[in-house]
Amino acid sequence: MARTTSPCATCALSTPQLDRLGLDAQEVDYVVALAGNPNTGKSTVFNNLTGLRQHTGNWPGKTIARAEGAFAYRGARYRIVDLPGTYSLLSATPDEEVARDFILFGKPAVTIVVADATRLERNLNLLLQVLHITDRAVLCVNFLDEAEAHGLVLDLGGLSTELGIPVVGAAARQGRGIPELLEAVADVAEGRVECRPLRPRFEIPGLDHAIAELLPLLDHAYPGVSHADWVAMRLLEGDEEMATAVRDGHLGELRADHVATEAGGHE
Amino acid sequence: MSDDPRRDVLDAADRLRWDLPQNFRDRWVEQTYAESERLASAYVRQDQPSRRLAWERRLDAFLTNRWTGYPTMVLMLAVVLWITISGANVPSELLATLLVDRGTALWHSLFAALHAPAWLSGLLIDGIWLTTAWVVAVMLPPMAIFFPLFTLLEDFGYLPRVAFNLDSTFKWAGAHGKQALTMTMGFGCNAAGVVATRVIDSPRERLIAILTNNFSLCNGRWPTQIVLATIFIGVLVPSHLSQLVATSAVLGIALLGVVFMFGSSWLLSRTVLRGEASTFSLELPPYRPPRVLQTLYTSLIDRTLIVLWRAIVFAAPAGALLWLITNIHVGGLSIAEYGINALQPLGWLMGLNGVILLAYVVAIPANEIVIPTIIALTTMTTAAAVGAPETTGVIYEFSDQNVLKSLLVGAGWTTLTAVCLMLFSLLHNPCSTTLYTIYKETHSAKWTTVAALMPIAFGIVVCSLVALVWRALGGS
Amino acid sequence: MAEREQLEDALKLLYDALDSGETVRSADLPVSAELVAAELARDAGDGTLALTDAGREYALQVIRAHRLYETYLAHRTGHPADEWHRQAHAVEHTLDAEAVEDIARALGDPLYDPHGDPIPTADGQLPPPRGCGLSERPVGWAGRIIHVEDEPPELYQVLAQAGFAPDVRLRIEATGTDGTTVRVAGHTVTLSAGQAALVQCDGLRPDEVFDASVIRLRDLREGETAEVVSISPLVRGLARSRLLDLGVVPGSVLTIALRGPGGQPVAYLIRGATIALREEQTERIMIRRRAASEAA
Repeated sequence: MARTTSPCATCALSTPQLDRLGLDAQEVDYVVALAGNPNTGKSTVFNNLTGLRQHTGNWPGKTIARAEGAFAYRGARYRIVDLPGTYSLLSATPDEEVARDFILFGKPAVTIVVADATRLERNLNLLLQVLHITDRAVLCVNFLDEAEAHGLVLDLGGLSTELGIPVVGAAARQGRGIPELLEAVADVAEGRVECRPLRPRFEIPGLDHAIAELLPLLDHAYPGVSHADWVAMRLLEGDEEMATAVRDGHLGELRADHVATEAGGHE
Repeated sequence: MSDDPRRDVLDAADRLRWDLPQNFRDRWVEQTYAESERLASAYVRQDQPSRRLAWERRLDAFLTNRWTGYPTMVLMLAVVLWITISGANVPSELLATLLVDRGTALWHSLFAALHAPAWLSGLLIDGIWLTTAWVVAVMLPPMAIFFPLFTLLEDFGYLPRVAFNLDSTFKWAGAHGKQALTMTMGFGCNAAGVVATRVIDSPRERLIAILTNNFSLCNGRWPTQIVLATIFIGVLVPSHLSQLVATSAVLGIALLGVVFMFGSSWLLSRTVLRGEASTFSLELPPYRPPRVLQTLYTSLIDRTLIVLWRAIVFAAPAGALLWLITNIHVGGLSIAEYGINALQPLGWLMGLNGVILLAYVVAIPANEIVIPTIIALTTMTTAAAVGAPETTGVIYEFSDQNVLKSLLVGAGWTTLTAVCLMLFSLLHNPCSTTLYTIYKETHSAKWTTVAALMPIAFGIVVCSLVALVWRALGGS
Repeated sequence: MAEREQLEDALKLLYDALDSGETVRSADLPVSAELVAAELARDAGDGTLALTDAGREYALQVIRAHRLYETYLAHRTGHPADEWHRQAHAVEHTLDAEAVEDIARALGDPLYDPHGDPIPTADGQLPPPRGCGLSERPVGWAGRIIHVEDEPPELYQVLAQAGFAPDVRLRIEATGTDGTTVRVAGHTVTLSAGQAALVQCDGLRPDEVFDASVIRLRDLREGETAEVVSISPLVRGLARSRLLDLGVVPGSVLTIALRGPGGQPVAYLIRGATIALREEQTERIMIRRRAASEAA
């Protein structure tokens, strides 16, 4: 289990130089993905960051077409993509495909996962799946105000240490925590904080052996492919989409040194 | 090892899969959840009992109870419709005055000052501008009120409870409980209702909701129903009852739409959609106080303006078309008259006439312009232009319903015509905005065609049967 | 096409008969002359038919197409179980080898079809059949289902409805003149002799036990707490992964939060969220009641 020091629990806040650029997302330095379960206030976080007014709905699949926005922070320009709210990244639904493909192949500089503080356990399920396919993520624990009303006390510093990524508490509807979130995103994007994401081992008989046998072949076909463990597990599961990516060369975009020229492949 | 390394990967994966348990995916998810549980229990502590949970539970119990839940739903729907209808009246009239009356006059004087040829001002102003302005005036205010109200209920968390309450009813028809919401949305606008089906994450149930949304009598069709019910149905009874009877007739048509929605959902789920993959999930999210101002703003952008924009895009060419077919003459007759004559036999069979059917062909972009188009075509053919403007092919409204009635009766309309038109207004193809939306949502020409043809088939059959029985019983 | 269908059906019939040790006289099989002419079968000398190597291989490929297509219907469509056989039977004669391999790949090269029958591999390998009939087991015997025969469809439908499927554990509770009473998939059912004959079973694996305290989620009552044990193998494809994603995984603790106005659907408190499920889902989710003290 990977561990790292808590990146954001102690750092002092600089004045947020948040510059809202709306939809003018032409030239950007970093691409940020926004993922999360339905009903976690993901779109409110998005609106807070970009100044766009995107509707937040109480449903999964609300933003099936990606919403995009932009902002500038500490002199760098960011493009942020609001992914569909999903419970998981493993299923063959259009929503999850969009989210999965964007994080995996779009290679965002940072993936923000928004979680509901009152249902953290359920939301961490998605976070752990996201950490499987990206190295750079920030967890935004939203609805802290409601968690307080529910009598919940959260140890975000401890959670951050164990997850190996920055964890920021927020109450986005009141604008609480947004400066801290920006700070954490910039830290990860600019490499000041290095994430060491928690990737628990799966105790499934035969899995380690199967992955160990598959990895050299995968590396031979696609030298330097990143997130090879995930690719191997999807192939072992019989996922048609991943098999197609292997067959038609699409997987080549996953090389660690590959520079994503165009973020994401979906419309 | 073969010389194709990609093939090697896939072959190895296929071979190695047999060494893994068959429920590999189950275990994957199970262990991820177990890890989440461990993390949550380590870093989240319940310090004191929840103040929130108690009232959330009580509210849930009230809203989903058999005796309190259903009345609350009906009350909510009634309040939303009442606010929409009464609130839309004033701005609608204002927009009509501004855009249709003043705007048209302004354009005409401008064109006259520029010495523009008559055909140009006819096509641009009387055709395109007038039709588009009409659609905006009729469509914008109710949608700008209806959708934000709907969105507020959604944000609060009430709508998932409605879906929960009605799920067993919709399940009977092979549909999803959330279809109750997309259906209700359809009363505002079918295109918006079709977009709203995104919340249904089961492929089969979503298609059912898309294909049957047209049976919700939309905002563009209510005025048609009300006008016909008032001048043809209401007058059949003593005057103190006429209002009541006319209103009942309109509500009866809307209810008939719901019946057709259930019936066709049932039919679709057991025939053409039988083999589509199906799953059910419905989360009841926590109640959250809606943020009113932001909701007004976002739902205006998200729903109202997008739908309105599409309507304008489709209404403008229709206005041009209407003007052209009534003003271009071939061999002494306008193109419209050829069309009317060709459609007359089918129209008669369905208890309608050629004018009405042609109006539906021309007015495919928006149901709002059906009645104005009918009036325009009727005045053109009857020459009994009672108080009509001098130009032809122009849509306009009669402020005096008696004048309208005498025009229609003069053109041969009977009670049967009105009844069949009310039915056909419910049971015909969706407007082109909705069809385009269906195509965008399904990416399928096949399902778009089904969505267009299914209701029109119902319409032809139902109207023809009504006309047949009516005439057999000696009605006229 | 009709000719191909006749030929392939006859070939399958012959394969099945020979496989179960019966003999088939040339005179009894409608297109036996054509089979022999195509060198798929030959006369064994005594008026009965035998398969040639080519015939055996051909028969296995037809069976492969049939079972793969059934698997496809089960995993990727919403067609009910009692229709798979009929549809697969109609399609098996129209697929070419490439289409069959495409289906196999898309499904991740499955080993067994949804009834538990082995699918012959592309090069004609067929795992040997396992287990024996349910009716031959004594009272108190516990095992796992390895195969449920899908013909006749009326009987199969009853079994599928009751939760019989490959990999499901069961225990014989009683045998008598009215049939065999079995504890299976969280409830107790009595099978007629005809129904019982469709079920093939094998013993439990060494690390397995039969747990009679397992019930179906639909039988959970208000105020009770339960833990998810498993999701029935009858829940497949998208429906299964949806349930898993929602947190219905083994070990998840749940209670009833709300009942719909007419009794259905029922909303459960699962891992912090309130999730409504329909009856056809809750009768396929196996749970174990928890004592109140365990609930925390």
